[in-house]
Amino acid sequence: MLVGCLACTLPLERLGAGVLASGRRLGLTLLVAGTPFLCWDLYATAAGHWSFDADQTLGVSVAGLPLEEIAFFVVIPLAIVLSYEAVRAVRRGFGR
Amino acid sequence: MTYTQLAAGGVLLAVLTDLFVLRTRLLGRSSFWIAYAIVVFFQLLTNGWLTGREIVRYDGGTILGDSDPQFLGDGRIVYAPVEDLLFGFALALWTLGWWTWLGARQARRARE
Repeated sequence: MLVGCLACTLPLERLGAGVLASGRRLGLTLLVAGTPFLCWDLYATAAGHWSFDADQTLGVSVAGLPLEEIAFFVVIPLAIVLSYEAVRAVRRGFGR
Repeated sequence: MTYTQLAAGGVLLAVLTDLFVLRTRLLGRSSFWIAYAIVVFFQLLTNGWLTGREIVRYDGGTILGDSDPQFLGDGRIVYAPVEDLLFGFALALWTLGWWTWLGARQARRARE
C-alpha cells in the first residue's frame, strides 16, 4: 500500500513541482510533520486505541509499532506534499 | 483520552497552527482543498482496505463506533473509523502548513 502511494505520487514531480529537489525544506517538513503524529501513534498503540494484525504485517516492530506504520509517517506526508504541489503546478499551468 | 478526543484535538491544533501560529492560511486556499480532496479520496481507498481486512483493528471503547468494521455506519466510512478522517485532515493541514511556512521563510531569506 505504501509502495502504491509512492508509485502514484512520485511521478507527479514531472509536473515540475520541485518537491524532491527541495532537500532541506522537504526533510524538515517530514520531520516536523511526522514526529508528533508518530508520537500520537506510539501512545495510542500502547494505550490500545488500535492494534495491528501480526499475520498481515512484516512482523518487524520498533517500540511496539510495525515497521510499515513508522514508514507511513514518512511516505504519507511526502505524498501529501507531492499532491499539493502538483495541484499548484497544474493550476499555474492553466493560468498561462 | 479516547481516539475521538485526540483526533478532534489534532484537528484543532492543526487549524490554530495554520491560522494563528504559522499564519499560512491554507484553509483559505482552494489549492489546499483540491489537494485534500484528492488525498481523502485515496485515504478512503487505502484506509478502507487496511481496516476492512482488519490489518488495523480499533478498540470500540475509544472510538464512536464498535470495534467490528462495517462499510458504512456505526461511526465507520468505508470500514475506517471517522476519527481516521480527522487524523488524516490534521496530518494533511499540519504537514502542508510547515511545508508552506518553510518555503516562505526560505524565500524571505533569499531576498535578504
